[in-house]
Amino acid sequence: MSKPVFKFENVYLEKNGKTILEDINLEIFPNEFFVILGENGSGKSSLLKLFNRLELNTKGRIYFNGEDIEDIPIHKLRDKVIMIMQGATLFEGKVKKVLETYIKKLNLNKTPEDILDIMGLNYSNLEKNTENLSGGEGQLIAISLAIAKNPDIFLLDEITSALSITMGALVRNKMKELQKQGKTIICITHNMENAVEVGERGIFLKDGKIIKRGSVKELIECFGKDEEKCIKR
Amino acid sequence: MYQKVVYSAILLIIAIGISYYNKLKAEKDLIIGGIRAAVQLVLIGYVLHYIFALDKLWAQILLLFIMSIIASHTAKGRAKEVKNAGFLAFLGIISGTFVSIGVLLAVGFITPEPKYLIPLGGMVIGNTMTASALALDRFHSELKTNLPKILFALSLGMSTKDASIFYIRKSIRAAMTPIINTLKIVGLIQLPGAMTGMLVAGASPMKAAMFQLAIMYMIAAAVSTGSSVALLLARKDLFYKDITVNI
Repeated sequence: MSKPVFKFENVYLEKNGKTILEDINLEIFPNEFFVILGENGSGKSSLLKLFNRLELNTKGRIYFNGEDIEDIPIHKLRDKVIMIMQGATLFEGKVKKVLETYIKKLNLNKTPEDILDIMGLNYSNLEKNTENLSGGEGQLIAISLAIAKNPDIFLLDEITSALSITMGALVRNKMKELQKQGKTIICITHNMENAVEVGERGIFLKDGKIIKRGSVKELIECFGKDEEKCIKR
Repeated sequence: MYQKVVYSAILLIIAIGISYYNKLKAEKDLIIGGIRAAVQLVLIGYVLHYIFALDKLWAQILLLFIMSIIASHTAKGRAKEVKNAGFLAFLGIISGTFVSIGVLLAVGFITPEPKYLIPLGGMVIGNTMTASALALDRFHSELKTNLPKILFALSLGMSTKDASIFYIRKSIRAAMTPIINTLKIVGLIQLPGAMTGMLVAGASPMKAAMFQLAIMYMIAAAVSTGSSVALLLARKDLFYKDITVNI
């Protein structure tokens, strides 16, 4: 088996005296479609944020390609590992101007039209304000920006939750295509059909702890069950 | 003079009477506020009397320094959610005062005398305090409201400076709005305090107007400098190194 791209060793996250994540041990391998499942408030988003240091672990070690992520310059890490969140994540303003800002600040050798082409969005969106985009359109532009940066690893936090069935399928297919190109995908989803369709392996989180590891089908069984019953199954 | 001031308390009694008649329940606050104002002004009157008589630059700077500390403590209360708000506001106030009063001294508009440094310094400190507190509070709430946008920008690899500059600008603009609005209408609706004071003291209207103009420019410079300094330092606190948001 190839070496893990990410390795978590006894990782803890504590905030304001509260333990959010406890003793997380985890390995993610190249080109995987890894799913993180769990009830609301179980620490899924916090865990995902640890991968590109939007959250900072308070104990334990996280290794990216064998190197401690604390030793990797942040811009280098985020060139390779990008997180896309749910909801309105684009700056306010006219889409064209906003995209020009991202392109300039991120040194992307692209035009706003190139960005829209990635997910097949209509150019008429360029004249809209980001606040007037539908949830789906805004989400697709955010996904396009992330893809334009060409990272090795995508961290997806419920990105299909605001999308219509058609748009959701579009994103799923794009992610599968990216995986075929050799990218690694780590995702949180509440859409179980989605999880079963795209996910291969994953973990189930409860109260900040991993209570089960396995195939997505096995993990889904954990919903609504307490830790003991879930482990027995 | 003192007797006439006591008579002016009739005006406060009118305000208390209106509050009572309209059931505003502001009588207690008016009484406490009125007494506090009297005590504070009498005390500052005595302190200024001493400092004017002493006529030493160090004493004037010391007084402005103490006023800045009190102002930053007040700013801390207005921007409660911002960590170190008092210290950040203090640095904003000091820099705003230094730049604005410094320029007026450098161009020779004022000389380092108590009659200039104390009242003008007080105006600058008061205005910069309000602006710094407003800017800090606004920036914190902008960061909270727009957290997903900032996190996404950081996630894409933007620096904390680039990810937050839009909100820094918005917050400084908010802090400057009162002085910008005042600049637009000054003299049209009411005569500002310094000009009124000079006219009451017998200065020529044109001299009072010119002095007031310089004061308005001084406040504009102090407010923009002070709020910018406070915010740029707050950004260092509100972001962990160049990595993530710390709120």
